[in-house]
Amino acid sequence: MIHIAKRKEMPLLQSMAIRGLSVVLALVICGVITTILTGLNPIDVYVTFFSGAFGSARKIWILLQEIAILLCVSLALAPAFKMKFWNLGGEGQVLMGALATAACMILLGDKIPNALLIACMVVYSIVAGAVWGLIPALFKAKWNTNETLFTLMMNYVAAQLVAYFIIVWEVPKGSGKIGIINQSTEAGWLPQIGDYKYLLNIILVAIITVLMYVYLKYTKHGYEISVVGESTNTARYVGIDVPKVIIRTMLLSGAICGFAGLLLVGGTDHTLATTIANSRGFTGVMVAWLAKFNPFSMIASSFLLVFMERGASEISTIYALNQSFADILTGIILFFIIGSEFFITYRVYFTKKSEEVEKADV
Amino acid sequence: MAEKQPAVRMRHISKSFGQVKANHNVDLDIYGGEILALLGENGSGKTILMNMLSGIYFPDAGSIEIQGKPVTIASPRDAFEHGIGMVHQHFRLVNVFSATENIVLGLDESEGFNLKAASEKIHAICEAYGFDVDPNQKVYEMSVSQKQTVEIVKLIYRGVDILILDEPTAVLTPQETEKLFAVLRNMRNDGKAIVIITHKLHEVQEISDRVVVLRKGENVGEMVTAKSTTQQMTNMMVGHQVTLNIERPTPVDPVERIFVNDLTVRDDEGVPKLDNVSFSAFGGEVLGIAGVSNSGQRELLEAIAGLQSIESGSIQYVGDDGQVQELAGKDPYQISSMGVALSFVPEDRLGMGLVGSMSLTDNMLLRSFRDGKSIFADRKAPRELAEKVVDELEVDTPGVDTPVRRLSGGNVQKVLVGREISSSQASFSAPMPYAAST
Repeated sequence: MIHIAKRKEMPLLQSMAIRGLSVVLALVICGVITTILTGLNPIDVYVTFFSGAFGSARKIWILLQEIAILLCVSLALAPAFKMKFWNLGGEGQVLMGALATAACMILLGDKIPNALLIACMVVYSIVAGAVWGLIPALFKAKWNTNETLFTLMMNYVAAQLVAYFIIVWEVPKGSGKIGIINQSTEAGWLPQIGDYKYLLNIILVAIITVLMYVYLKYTKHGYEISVVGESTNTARYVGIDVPKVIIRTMLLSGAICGFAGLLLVGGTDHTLATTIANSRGFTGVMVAWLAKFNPFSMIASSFLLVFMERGASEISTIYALNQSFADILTGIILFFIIGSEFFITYRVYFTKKSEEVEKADV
Repeated sequence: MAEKQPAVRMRHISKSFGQVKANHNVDLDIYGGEILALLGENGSGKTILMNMLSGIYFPDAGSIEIQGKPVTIASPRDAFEHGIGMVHQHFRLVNVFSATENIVLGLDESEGFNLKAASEKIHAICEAYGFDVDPNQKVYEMSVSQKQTVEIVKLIYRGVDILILDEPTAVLTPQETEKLFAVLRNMRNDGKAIVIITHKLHEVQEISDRVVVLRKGENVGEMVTAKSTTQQMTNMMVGHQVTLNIERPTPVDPVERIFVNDLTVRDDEGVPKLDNVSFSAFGGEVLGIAGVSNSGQRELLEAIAGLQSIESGSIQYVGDDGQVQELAGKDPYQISSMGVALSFVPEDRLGMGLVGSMSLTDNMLLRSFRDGKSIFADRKAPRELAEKVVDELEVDTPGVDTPVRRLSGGNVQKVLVGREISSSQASFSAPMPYAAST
């Protein structure tokens, strides 16, 4: 028989070893599966995997940029999830931020000074994201509606709004696409630091990471979030205004998501599409949970996820396999990473029925 | 054979949850035709030991024999097969089903349910032991005592000969308890083995034939009820000499502290929980609130503490200077901002009052984190307070950074009481409503 029991607290070193082992195992299984299905040499496959992430300076920059955006969304979700508010609406909040940014760029571009335009973009993207976070929070605080469904549904509304405005602003007419916004004037494009296109995004997200760490760990707000997340009854008992904390935290969560939208549209993509958030609103949930809501650990977990994804997609491209193969590999890797958390928390042991009986006879 | 064959023989049973040793090397024999009382303080591991017998938990070590045969009990279904059944403190019944439907639920349905035959059989069981159950009544229409009866009948219907009852009298009025005991005696005389888990000494005296005492998860001894006194039981349960006759001097200069006037509270469904309750509590005295569980004690205390919305009535607090302040309609933070020195130690300590996953320091912070204008929470004072509480109340903990959840029940209580006393400066003159978990 199999028994599962909760472990005693595991030393950090041992738990890190288990996590490391799970990544190694995941890579081994991925190699085996790739070889079986495609007949390729597994060593080559691994080399390709790594070169997908680190193969050239450009690839490393893309890797860092991807990490920055994913981390930004994850940082936004962390306070909500720490409060046990299941904000699955990151996707929609990012989209709304992106939509607001694009609207500023299209409608105000060339009409007002660039600095003012960028200031508008920052403000409106944050406000748009925050509003998208606020709506489910208000309903939760006032009528205790289910935030999981509510935030999830808000994603579809946001996607439809973006789809609508893409048609309104499409260039050229009938293409169903916006194309690069203000390509000639670069109005509203976030400034580039030196030759590094992605550096600004990375620096901004690094700053948010530190701020979020301090906010969650040392401030009164952060403390209230932990108390509400662990026990609303205790929070009420010490007189914490739970609805207020929910609303405030979701405003923050949505605002940072909106800011991620700004970084995507104003910083890198310079266009708007319904797929611009690229499921980061959901991947971010995983990043935050894996790191147990510690912003610094989230750097590691977002790195891991982005690295795996880039590597897997490189294999698909180089060996002319389709995207589904990359998805299979990513799936295997995630399975192992998440599975390792189970073995860190629980101990599994086996007993045989007959053995028990023998022992009892003695 | 000189000795009687025990119905259940548990040997060297151990069970840990993380670092907490719930049971350690426990030996226990249960005999047919006998009522055994399993006595122990809260958190002494009585329920967990019996949960291992009824298949809820699986022991880490040790062996169980039923009627002399070694067995493995891995699920409640296994337990039923060996004739073991348990009535849990919180009933496990489906509200919208009738008594009969609940009783046959989960049985092997290969032949299909025959509810009519089942209800006749239930009738026969009731006749035999003196139960009072209407097989067709829905569970949601039943009183607590009727629900308990359904639970017991359910076990007998399944042919259980070893019956475990976890704190069966906590929810019963004295009259209902009498009725339950009469039924239990009938069953004992019928040869069934009965275990009742309790910490009420007078009940042990009244109903049991033999007593086994657990302390800190270990079996510390057993005695024949008829040959022992409650004093002996208490001493064994607590582990040292305890005086049961506490001197109760008349309170000196009692001052009225709290007036509760015509307090009415309804729950979410609109069912009245408190109906026009009025009383006064005095400083310098301990006021007990008696009643069967769930009679509104919790609602009353929570209403005074500002945690329960009140339909009507008033709660007034008289300060040291004689100033009267209205507490009704205020939340706990408003109450403490008014300078009212009121502490409430809730029944469910880790569910309300403390945060299990947080350290002692962070739990002290719950009362003080708002202090100061800074946006940062000050952890220095709470840390000192935590160290002081650990020191003065002899809290058994590896340090002030240990999550409270990892402490034992008694130590958790000390942490909470320590914080509450320190947070209300005039605490000893203030009333301290205290909900014991009995």
